[in-house]
Amino acid sequence: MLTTAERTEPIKTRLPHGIDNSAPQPLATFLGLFSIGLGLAEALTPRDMANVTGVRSPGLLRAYGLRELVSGLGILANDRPAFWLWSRVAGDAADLATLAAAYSDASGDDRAKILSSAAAVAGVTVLDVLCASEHSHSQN
Amino acid sequence: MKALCWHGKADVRCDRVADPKIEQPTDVIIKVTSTCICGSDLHLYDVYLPAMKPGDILGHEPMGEVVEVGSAVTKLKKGDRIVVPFNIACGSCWFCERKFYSCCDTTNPDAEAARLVMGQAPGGLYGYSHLTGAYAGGQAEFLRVVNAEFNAQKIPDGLPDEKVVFLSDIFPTGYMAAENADIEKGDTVAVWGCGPVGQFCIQSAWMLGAGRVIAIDRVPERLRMAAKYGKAEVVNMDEVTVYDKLQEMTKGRGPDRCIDAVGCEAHGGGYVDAVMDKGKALVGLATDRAHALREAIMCCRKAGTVSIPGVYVGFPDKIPFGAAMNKGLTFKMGQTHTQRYTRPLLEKIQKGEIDPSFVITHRLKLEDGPGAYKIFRDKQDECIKVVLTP
Repeated sequence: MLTTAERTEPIKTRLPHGIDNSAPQPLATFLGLFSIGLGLAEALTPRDMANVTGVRSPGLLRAYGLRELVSGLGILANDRPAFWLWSRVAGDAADLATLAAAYSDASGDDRAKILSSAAAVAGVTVLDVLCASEHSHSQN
Repeated sequence: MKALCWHGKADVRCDRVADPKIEQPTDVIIKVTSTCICGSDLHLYDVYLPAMKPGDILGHEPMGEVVEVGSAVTKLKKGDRIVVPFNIACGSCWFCERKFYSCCDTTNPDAEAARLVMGQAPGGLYGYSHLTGAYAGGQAEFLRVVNAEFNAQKIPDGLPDEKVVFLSDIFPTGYMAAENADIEKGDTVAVWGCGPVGQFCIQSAWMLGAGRVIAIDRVPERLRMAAKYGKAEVVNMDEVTVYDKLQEMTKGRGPDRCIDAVGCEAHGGGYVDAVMDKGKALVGLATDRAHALREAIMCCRKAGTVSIPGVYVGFPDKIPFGAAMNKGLTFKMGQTHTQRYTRPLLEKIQKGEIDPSFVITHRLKLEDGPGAYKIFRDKQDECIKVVLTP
């Protein structure tokens, strides 16, 4: 008959380094990464982004790129990212206002580009609002 | 109270929820003193069993101190320490009278849903989805224990939680698996899976007269535990072909008894069928990854027995049933009839025949439950068994 040997290995009483108790946040993570990607594109290649979006203000796009980077880093670096998600919503509002203003001064192909950009921003705004609302609710 | 709640795939959170209340006169409420994470919990964590709802409390391996008793409870009182079996039985239905306690006819209030999926509904389980009664689980500060006097095992003074908490599930599960293997004196028993249930299968195989126990896994610390505490001969499936090795070890006959303590989330390494299982499961074309079961069937000697304590949830694919039939294998399986075993196994602990605490690698706070699920599932930090303290 087998009698169990007494345990000699110590029992661990802490989680290992790098493991925490945070819940997975797939949409927030996606938005954070999206923010960083877009931010890098706007900050590093503002003239190319001006051509794509139809907003002919490279200096403004560079500033918006820095704003996106800050939001993205804020989202990814925090377990409770509601504030940073709402900062994206505020950024979306600024983007839409900028696009509206640019539309009135634009002509030809630029107008079509601005409308496409506005549609894309509107779509992302919905995701930002949903995600920010969910995180605000769970953080309260 | 604080409780570990399911919120989605790989999303367990320590939430604040309402305290349980006495609902039936036969209930007691316990303050949970120790509660464990089970390999079966991972089937909920990874949504292999898609019947949980956000907010459901997990956990089916608790023990604790009685703090409130129902009006019909006379044999348990405040202050008693009890271990709570994971399955809930009434003690009086057709199945309970025959000691098939996990098949209880009366303790699954959502029996129709289970009947549609399984043909007939098994009994209720703590913290194990809406198919098994949606009972609040035991990974919490307090638990409502149903039909407590019949189900719970009172623990005498002098036995710390670590020695007895596994009477709730994994020790009886390992023992019943060994019993189901119909071990005869001197048999060679092969155990697939050296997780906690597998470790108790190994211990129990010796108790029931095995002459040799072979343990199969791919995780080094689990094989080391099987060798050191279980005195098993170990086979690392990442280093050898299991079938060839078992044939060699048994001079071509195959093990007499094979125990599948892996169940539906077999990792299976680089074996072709295991890789295909993972691919199919990823896209929803498979409900179970049954590599260990297939291998046990192929390796088992003719006229041998395959015992299956590993949990399966749906429709495992490509099972070599032709091999099983033509070799005349006997299959025995099932959710453990825990109440059959708690008293006799407690006596073994009291006599010093076994100290079940050998299997514990991590003792953490309840609040660390989300992180504990991660390291248990991913086998990080040499995690084999986690006991949580609320």
